[in-house]
Amino acid sequence: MRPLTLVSLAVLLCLVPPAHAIDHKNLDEGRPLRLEDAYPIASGELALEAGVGFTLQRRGADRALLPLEVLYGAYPNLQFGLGSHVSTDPHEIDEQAKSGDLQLSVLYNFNQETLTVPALGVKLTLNVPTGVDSSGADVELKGIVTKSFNRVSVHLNAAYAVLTGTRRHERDGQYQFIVGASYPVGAPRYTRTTLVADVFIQQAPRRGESEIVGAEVGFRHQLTPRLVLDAGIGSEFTGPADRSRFFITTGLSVGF
Amino acid sequence: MKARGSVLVGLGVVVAILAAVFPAGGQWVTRDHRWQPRGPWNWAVPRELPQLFREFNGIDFGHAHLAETLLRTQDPQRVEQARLEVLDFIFSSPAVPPDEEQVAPTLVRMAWEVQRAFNWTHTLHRSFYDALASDRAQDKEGALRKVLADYLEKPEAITSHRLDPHGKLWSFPESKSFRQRFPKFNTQIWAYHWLQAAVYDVQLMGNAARQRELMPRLIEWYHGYLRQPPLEWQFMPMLPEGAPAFSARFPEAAAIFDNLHMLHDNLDDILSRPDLYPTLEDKRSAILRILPIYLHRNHAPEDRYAEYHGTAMGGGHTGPGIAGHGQMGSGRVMGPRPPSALEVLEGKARSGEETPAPPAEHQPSSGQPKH
Repeated sequence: MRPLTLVSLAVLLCLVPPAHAIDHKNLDEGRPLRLEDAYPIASGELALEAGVGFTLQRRGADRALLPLEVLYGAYPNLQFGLGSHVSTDPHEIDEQAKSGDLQLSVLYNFNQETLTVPALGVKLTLNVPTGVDSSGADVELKGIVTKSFNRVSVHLNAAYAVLTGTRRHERDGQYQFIVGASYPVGAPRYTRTTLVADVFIQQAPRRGESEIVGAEVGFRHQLTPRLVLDAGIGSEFTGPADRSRFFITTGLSVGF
Repeated sequence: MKARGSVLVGLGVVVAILAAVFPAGGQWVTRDHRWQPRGPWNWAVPRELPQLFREFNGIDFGHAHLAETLLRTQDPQRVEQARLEVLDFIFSSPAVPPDEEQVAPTLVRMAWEVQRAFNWTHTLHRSFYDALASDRAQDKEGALRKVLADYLEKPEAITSHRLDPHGKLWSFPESKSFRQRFPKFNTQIWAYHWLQAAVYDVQLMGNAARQRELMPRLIEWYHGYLRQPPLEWQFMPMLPEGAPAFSARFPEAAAIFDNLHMLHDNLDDILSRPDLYPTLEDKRSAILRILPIYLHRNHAPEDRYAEYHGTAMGGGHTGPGIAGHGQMGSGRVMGPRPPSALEVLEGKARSGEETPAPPAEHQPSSGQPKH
């Protein structure tokens, strides 16, 4: 996607008039962290999520990322997603999801959290190899748990991806665990800003390399009733030599 | 083969995690969060009537903060402090609706079933306000009837049958407890409900520009109620009182909104009686005993709660069901009653206890509304 297109999109998002009810505390992957909560968007809602990010690599070229995703609440508790991202230096990407790949996802929430039962969700993502240097389709299954303590919500994500088209020295399956929390700073009177933080561990793309361990922190802030601004930063502390030293992202989500 | 093994490992991990956190018993309820019905009128209130939009945002906080407060304390001073916090919030003229799940986390997890009914009916409320505020919608009446039919199809919809809020629905063991223990907070909430009703009749008086011209007078009257809660009210304001024209034109919607407001009162009564319902589980059970009476699916096609139906109130301030000032058609003495929107706008809402006293008994710390 050309930068001009993204700028136009950002301007469009800022011009959208206010409305009643985007769920601004809803955590979706990438906005701003990889952490997700167990809830989809409302049934009947259409949401557009766009952002820009940068990653500073310990080895190799630093990169800029431009992600874009459309979400649709197709049925109660069921959300479909269609997304992609483009990256500078696309040939430098080691991960299986390449610049220009399409991601199709479906998220289902089983239940609302109650006093005794946490909220449970499951997400299936298909990565379609439409991008630069893409080699095969990948499928990821993720279980999501959200359990709250007063106003602090703890989220657990556990995912396993089956990868195809990998080379001999690369893994054909990868797990990832994320645990994090979100907190509405200023509640009950002020509920416009939610702080988010997580730690994560995932298998490295190449066999024999140690797991990637990192942490990230960010926020989601409700600018208008329909528009949410987010930003996050993070680092990968251990892992392969070419892991990210520092990454940062910011973006907007709008509900239609 | 290797891929299949990887899938099994992944599934095993997910299942193990879910099994570890999932308790043997508990409360299972689906979320069913719904977006507003789509139409050319969507978001007309924030666009055309921003002052009113901000008032409604304040009201959203009022209900949620009260419920969460009552779950944490029954101390009159702390409840009064919560009331003042609500006033401060309302008079801060909030630009966005508060997130009720973050304002009242205990309530929504304790009884999501009732919160879900509130959410869906509040969405209906907002759709009606939007449609009536919009100059883009051509056939508003037809569109609203479609919105109403769509609303009633959902399992959490509150019934359009007019129930009896002053009789059987206010005769449970805990009924009237909130009014008796916290009369100021109670009538402050009734003032929200009066505004929510009266707005509809103002909206029927003209296009968006006309509504923008008239609405500040109604809101000013409502602010008078906030500053000096009308303690003389003995029963909640009804749609046919505040908005007789709307109630005659949309009697089903009027009944839904009155039923919604009574359900709020029932909830507050339950939360005000820890002696009857000491634990969260007891409170939840009490709420879930009452909620089915309100759900439309229990009234149509088969009416399981016919004994809770009330008398029709479709004809206006002194129409069927209300005999003049302060007496129900059934003979029940109502005491002073709130005025209609038209009476406020024509300057006829003035006499006796109905008139909010001009000097502010409570001065919110954030001062006057920032309109």
